[in-house]
Amino acid sequence: MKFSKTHEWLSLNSDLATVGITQHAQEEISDVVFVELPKVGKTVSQGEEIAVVESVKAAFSIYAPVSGTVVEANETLAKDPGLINRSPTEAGWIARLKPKNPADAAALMDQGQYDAWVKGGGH
Amino acid sequence: MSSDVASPPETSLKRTSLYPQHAELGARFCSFAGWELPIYYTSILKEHEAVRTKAGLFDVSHLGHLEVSGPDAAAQLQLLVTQDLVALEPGQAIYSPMLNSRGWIMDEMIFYRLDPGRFRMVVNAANGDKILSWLKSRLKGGAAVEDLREKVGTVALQGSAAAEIFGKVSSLVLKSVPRYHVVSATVVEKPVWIARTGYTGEDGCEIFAAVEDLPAVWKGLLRAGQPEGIQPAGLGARDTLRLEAGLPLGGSDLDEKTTPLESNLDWTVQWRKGPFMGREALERQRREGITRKLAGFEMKGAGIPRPGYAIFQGETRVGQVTSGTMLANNRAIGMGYVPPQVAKPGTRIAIEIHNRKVDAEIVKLPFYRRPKQ
Repeated sequence: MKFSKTHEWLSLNSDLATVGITQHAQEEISDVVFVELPKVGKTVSQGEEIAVVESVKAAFSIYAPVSGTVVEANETLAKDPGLINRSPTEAGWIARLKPKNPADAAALMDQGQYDAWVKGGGH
Repeated sequence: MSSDVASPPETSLKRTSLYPQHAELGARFCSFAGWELPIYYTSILKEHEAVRTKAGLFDVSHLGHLEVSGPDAAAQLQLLVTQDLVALEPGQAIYSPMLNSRGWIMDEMIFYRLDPGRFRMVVNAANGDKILSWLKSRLKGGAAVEDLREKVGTVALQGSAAAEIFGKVSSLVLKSVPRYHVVSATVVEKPVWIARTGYTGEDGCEIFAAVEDLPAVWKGLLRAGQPEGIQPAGLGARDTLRLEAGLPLGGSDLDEKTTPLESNLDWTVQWRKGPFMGREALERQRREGITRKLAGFEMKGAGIPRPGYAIFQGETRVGQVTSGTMLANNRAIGMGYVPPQVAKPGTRIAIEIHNRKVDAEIVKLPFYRRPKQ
């Protein structure tokens, strides 16, 4: 699993990348009450908004950790947005991408680097 | 992830005398009107739910206490507000806007007539300095204003279990005090004022105490309310509760460019009482008619309205959202200003959310009314 400085995670499995938000991000956002999912077929560039996760108080933009095409969105979140709080890195995944260039992921942080980034107050 | 709405606390913010208690309870803090205040302790949704079903305890010490006293206090304040303060009996409280000469709302506050010649005012945190200097410039001999903001703090005990919990820390029977009344009492042996007011749409009270006594009052109520499931509740839940109860928020739904006639506060304007600041402007507006009105709406399509979002009717932009949220029951609700002909319940509108127009419908306020007991 790889991490962005904007608190998204990415998990590469053969040629598909699953994207969600980190445990730290879900704690920051608190009660997720709505998720605006990306449309399947949408192409996004690295760092571009891919979804919007909303808490009671505010809307948070979620950015694509790599460039690619959306092949699946987690429709379960439409009915149960709180899944992001309960299981941010597993059942609460947001979208699956077909990366344009899987090597893009190399620029992301690993778990140790991300934890240090968060600990340093990184945002 | 990023958001332009949630901002971390800034430096040099004021803290209430309950700050150590909040920190100990694991509060998440936010900045509001120059204060560092808990936004939530566990979760906004859980705290909202606790107040609706059991009880919640809020630190609202950021609210500003000012006191106007003197033999001429009632008569002089009467000229500065839309409500009839002369008719207010000692022991009664009343909500009133305070207008400038253009009829615009400088602030809205609750007046508590503690004695015939003594009015406690509780004003919005952001407006304390402005109202204090306004009063100083307007009051003449026979009435003087005292700034109690550093001395007095407030906790709000709200919810259906409030009266029961209150009974464990005071000899006063809360239900013996009618709504919008105020009495002096003791809570955990501290002298306090008990006001039967609140900002959540639930039963309960607000407790005014010396800032140094407030921690004992806070801790006593939390301890006493444990069997009833009391929760400390932050500004986040306070905001969603007041919105659900259809109560406008100063600085969001009301500002210094808004009159009471536009903001559903017609009921606070006592036309028969005689002159008051802003009256001529209001009379003109009443004659000519208002061009915009605060209305409640509920989302029909998927999305959450937020302050600043545009309101459309068809392709025409007709107004702007001033408050909005989504509640645990998946109801996304909001308030905003639209032309009066649009403000009628049942009118279909659309809210522009992230560049999409999402269907919504004007509904009657409030969104929530507490069940009769």
